[in-house]
Amino acid sequence: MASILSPAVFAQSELKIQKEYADNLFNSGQLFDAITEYKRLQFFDIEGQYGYYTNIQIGEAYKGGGRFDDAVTYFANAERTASNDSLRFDAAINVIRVNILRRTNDNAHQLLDKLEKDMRYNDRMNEINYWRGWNYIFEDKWLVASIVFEKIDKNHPLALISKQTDKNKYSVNFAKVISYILPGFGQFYTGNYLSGLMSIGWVGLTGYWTLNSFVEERVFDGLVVGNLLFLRFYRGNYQNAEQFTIEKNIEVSNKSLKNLQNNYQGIKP
Amino acid sequence: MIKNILLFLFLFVSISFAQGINYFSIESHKKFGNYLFESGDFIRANQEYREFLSKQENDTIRIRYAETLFRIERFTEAADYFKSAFYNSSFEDEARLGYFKSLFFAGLYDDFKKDLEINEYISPLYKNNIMKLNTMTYYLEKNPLPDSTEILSYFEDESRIKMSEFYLRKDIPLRKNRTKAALFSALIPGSGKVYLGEYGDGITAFIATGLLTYLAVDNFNANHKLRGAVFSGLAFLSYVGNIYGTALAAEKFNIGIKVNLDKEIRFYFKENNYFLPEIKY
Amino acid sequence: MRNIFIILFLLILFPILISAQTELKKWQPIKINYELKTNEEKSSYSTSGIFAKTLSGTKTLYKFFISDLDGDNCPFYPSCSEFYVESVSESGLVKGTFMFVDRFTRDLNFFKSREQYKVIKNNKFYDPVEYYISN
Repeated sequence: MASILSPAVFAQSELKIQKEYADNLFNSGQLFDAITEYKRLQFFDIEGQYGYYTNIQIGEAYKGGGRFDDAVTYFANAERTASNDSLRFDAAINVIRVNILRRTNDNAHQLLDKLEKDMRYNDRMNEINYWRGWNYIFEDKWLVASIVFEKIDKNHPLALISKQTDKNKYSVNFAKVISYILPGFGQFYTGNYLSGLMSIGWVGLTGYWTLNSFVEERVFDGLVVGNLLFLRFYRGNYQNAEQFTIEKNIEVSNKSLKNLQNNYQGIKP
Repeated sequence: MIKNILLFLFLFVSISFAQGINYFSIESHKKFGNYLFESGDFIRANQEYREFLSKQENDTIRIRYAETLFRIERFTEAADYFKSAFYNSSFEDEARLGYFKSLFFAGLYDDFKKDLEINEYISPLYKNNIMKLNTMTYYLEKNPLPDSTEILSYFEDESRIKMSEFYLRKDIPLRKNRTKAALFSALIPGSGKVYLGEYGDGITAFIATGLLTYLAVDNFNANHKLRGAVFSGLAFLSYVGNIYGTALAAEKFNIGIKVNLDKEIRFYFKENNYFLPEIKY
Repeated sequence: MRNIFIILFLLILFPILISAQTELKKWQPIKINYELKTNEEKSSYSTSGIFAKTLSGTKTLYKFFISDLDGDNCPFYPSCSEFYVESVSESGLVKGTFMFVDRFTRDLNFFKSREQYKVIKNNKFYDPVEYYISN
């Protein structure tokens, strides 16, 4: 009996040793070499006992190297070779996480929709919502992200962070409208006081010259000054207001993103 | 008795097989290397083949090793390994093709042409492919093209028509004369730009120079000497600037023709896989 | 029938082939950054020579007092003021000034016909000084 079983036992232990070797490389950050050894394990694992596991690990290694296209390939392989729905779901989520990281957010939404519509995963809606929320975060849609996280839990930490980030943002439309009415005030709104004061100065000065020319019936001069100077600085004022608002909003988003990346303890993409 | 002998033999054979597979044996390196090669993971296949070749020689593995070096763009090393398979190998012809394609992709066109003169380096089986690569080197380097009859003779049908077209465009490129363009702009501001096909810029330059000249004359006539001087200066700058800019634009145009042709040629070669055959080692 | 096979082959195999990037050399793990990329791009250009340095200083003042306030008017990258400083640095004051005047005329172009330029990010037309320096 032992002699019949011993080849199989030996083969199993060798596969296990190879798996441990690959895992050690992976855990020590030698991702390129880890991929080689996982592929070696895949090749010699004729029965496919470690098929799913190696595909996932190779995908994780490629992800760690920023090689997202390759990571998606192997996660998709894992999805195909999964032996049950739970593993299939986990692999699909890994594909979605890579799509979030490489900012192919539309793809991620489509894949999440597919999982949502699949009746087999009705009990995993929280996980689907969790990753949808992250997808919205990476799309810079913080308010929508907070609504999605609230579906999991009204006081979910990511819901609170997303809501706060959205509150901290400036309104681009408000900045533009206030600049149309009160030149320079759009820049005050975003804290660019010097730029705002200078805008007020230039718009005021060139406006005065334009009006003065018309009052003195120097129509041609008025048209030239109005067109080449007044309108230029007036346009510059609301363009700057819009630009500063967008820049400030990127800063707010990046602050939250950096905080999430470095300090958030939950699962991240 | 017989039963015991049979049992003993059975046990002996089982224990022998129970040694298991060594994943890092020479044979395993070869098998795994082949698997990686066939799945397109050339850098890892390269590592496995290197391990194998450090302990054992094999024609197929050697040529595959050279091919992996080529695929990971280590062209000069690939050339060396292909060359080492020129003689006493089952892949002498493939090695010769591989050698020349490695020199081609390494951009070593001089070495390519020099070694092309050595008859025994040419593979009779792939001579046509090698000569096509040779033709392509002429199209990609900056030297004047040789006579078309010979270099185009290795191409047929559609590819020959296309290569002939490229030949003509490279040999007699569409050029704009810099001096002519500048003279046009000197005679009529902006006309040089129109000659170069930049109609918008040309008409704008004409209007700008004209307007400034008019304002200068007008102000001098109205005895506004300072304004007249300012507009005169601006008109002069506009006039001379346009002439100088036109000359530079003509040079930019000519360089653009060369650069665009070069891009088109490279794209065509890549699209046709450099007219190289698919080889299975 | 052959064409169908070719089409099927391309449709099925091609996406699989293009989805994997060929690894050309051994790579290291990277730290993935979550942050959004900013639009800000500092254009770098040389300023050698006394004229170029003086112009560069003037350009900084012009940018602070006027250019930063009158909106984004230049359709080109680099902007006309940057073009002027770099052209003077590369070609001297006289030639540089003529190059700038030519650039200004092209900026004015009433017909906005700019097909000969490459469009880069922020919808600017790429028109660097190096295109005009005769080699």
